[in-house]
Amino acid sequence: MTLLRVDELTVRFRTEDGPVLAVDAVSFDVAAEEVLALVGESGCGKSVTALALTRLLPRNATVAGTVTFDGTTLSALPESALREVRGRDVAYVFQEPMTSLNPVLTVGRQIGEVLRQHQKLHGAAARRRAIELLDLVGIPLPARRIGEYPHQLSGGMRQRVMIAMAVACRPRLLVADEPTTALDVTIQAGILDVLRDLRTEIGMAVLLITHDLGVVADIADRVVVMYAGRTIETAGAPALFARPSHPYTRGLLDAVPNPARHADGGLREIPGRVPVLADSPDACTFADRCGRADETCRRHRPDLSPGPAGHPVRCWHPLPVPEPAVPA
Amino acid sequence: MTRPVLEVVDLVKHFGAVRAVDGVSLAVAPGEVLGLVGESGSGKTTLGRCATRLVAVTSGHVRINGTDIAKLSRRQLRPLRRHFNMVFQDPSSSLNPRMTVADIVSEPLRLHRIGTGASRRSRVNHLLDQVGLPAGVGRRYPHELSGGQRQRVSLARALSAGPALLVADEPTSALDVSVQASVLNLIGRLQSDLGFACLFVTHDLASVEFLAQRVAVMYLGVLVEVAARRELFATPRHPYTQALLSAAPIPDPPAQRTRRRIVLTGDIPSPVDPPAGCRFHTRCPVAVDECRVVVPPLRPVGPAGALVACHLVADDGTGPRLG
Repeated sequence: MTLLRVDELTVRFRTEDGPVLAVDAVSFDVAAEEVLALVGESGCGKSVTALALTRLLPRNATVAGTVTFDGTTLSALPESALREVRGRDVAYVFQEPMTSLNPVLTVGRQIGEVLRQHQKLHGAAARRRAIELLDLVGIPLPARRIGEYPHQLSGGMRQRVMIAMAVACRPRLLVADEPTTALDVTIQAGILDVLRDLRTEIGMAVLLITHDLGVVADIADRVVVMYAGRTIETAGAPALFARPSHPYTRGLLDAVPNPARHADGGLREIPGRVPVLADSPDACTFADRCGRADETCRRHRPDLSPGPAGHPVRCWHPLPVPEPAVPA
Repeated sequence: MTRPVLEVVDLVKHFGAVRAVDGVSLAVAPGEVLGLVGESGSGKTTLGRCATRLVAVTSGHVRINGTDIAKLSRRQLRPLRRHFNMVFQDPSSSLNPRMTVADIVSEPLRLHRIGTGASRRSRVNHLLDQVGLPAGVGRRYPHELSGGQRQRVSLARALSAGPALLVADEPTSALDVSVQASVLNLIGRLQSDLGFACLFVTHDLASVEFLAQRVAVMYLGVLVEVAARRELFATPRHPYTQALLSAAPIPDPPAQRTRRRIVLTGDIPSPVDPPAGCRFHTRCPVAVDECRVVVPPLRPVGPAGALVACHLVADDGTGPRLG
């Protein structure tokens, strides 16, 4: 069942240096209880896409396209109705918990605020539920922790509090923007486990925004790869890693050092930089950095269409499917 | 054995009550890359800063090519600084925004009075070429460059006076993955071309695996394991090293989803009041009573001379396998 449908989402910013096209007609679906990873490097438009879903962007942004959540067209809702959707049905977790938590309120007060706002829970009932939530995200001694302030918690514990607040109303979709990027790997492993458990326990889908392919390999069901505002490839996680079709996806995978296959010959580099676009060019936006590019790529925009590996790719010359290894 | 370029002996660095580095000894041989890994609060960055004397040392020795710099004054240090240098995580905050790239790269040459104006200019052009920047970049300012290009400028500056030791503190952590790859390749190439010794400080195990010949693992101000790269990644012996390796996700879904994972409970304790005995015992799944009381020494185990600080690892290198 499709929970979230994003159709031709386009975001432009007016800036002092002129207009910037941040998201260029992006379309994707998230199924109920699915973990969909939105992957790309800085400036590819992945965070802007996440914020645009519930119109959390600053005023200099113009958004076009439709976002449908569980049959409701969010893009047509007035602000007051959208506010109900945020927090209750669609919740957010961001990279840096310290800037999203109020430093002068206890953890219990902050979780209580969400419960009051959306679930009309007060007093002892709110306190009980707050303790349950901290327990749910794996915080030891939750009854003591709810009286503490954010600065008394470690980075990993703060991120668990953020997740507890986000899931307080049992949202159907959690949008997690780089939720573990600021954390150590041993702490990250625990947070990823919490997300995995919550998805089955409360039946929640996760839209995970990340640049970390290790995290994607760990937790994502499906992956959407973005480049310069466009989706360039989408596939099930195992297929994307085993049979990438877009040269950029291949480049990203080869650029990451992987202890499982030591690269004695050096890491593959992707020359050049991500372009900042004022308008959508009638060309492939990766052409200038791509070894396979020809005149077609520079003159015509490729569509997202099924590639040689069976999943959609936006490329005129997608990579062939690798031959299966012949057993020796 | 040849004399190490960097030799740290019983190094202690306390910031007030915070025991950031609490008795660390290690050495980096000529031409060697030693990866120093650990998580936030492990003291790895402080150790790097002590090794280049960016901070004062509480006690212990820091020898560079045999000269102990641990207790030297700033004035005494100044002429020695051409022998060691550092690159940092964030190149935009470590490059002077008001200087051109050429001035930034030639600054160490001017400070140490190396060469003439003309020879410095040709040295700068050569360095920029070595780090893969076009010659015209010399006239530009840092803000005109991308993050990856700025890190190349940092490297050119750090290497301009021809140091014997480079301390690199998370040099790729602020960069995008495709740019990380090019900076890691560059450090590897420069290191094999120029032959400097390198202390590579990072939390990223994958980049250590790519670049280092030996790896030292730090936890809460002390070393818990030091081993050759292949040995450490193939047979991590300390329970913390095992947990750390298993927690770093690898970009390969079938492998990642079927590998054994050790999830540690709790957080890294406060370096103000580190646990008695083995500092890892509060999070160690196999700790016994002895671990809570007796500090395990870092001692050689196994056939290849790995160093491990764990009571449960035997002299032949066998010990607990977690997961």
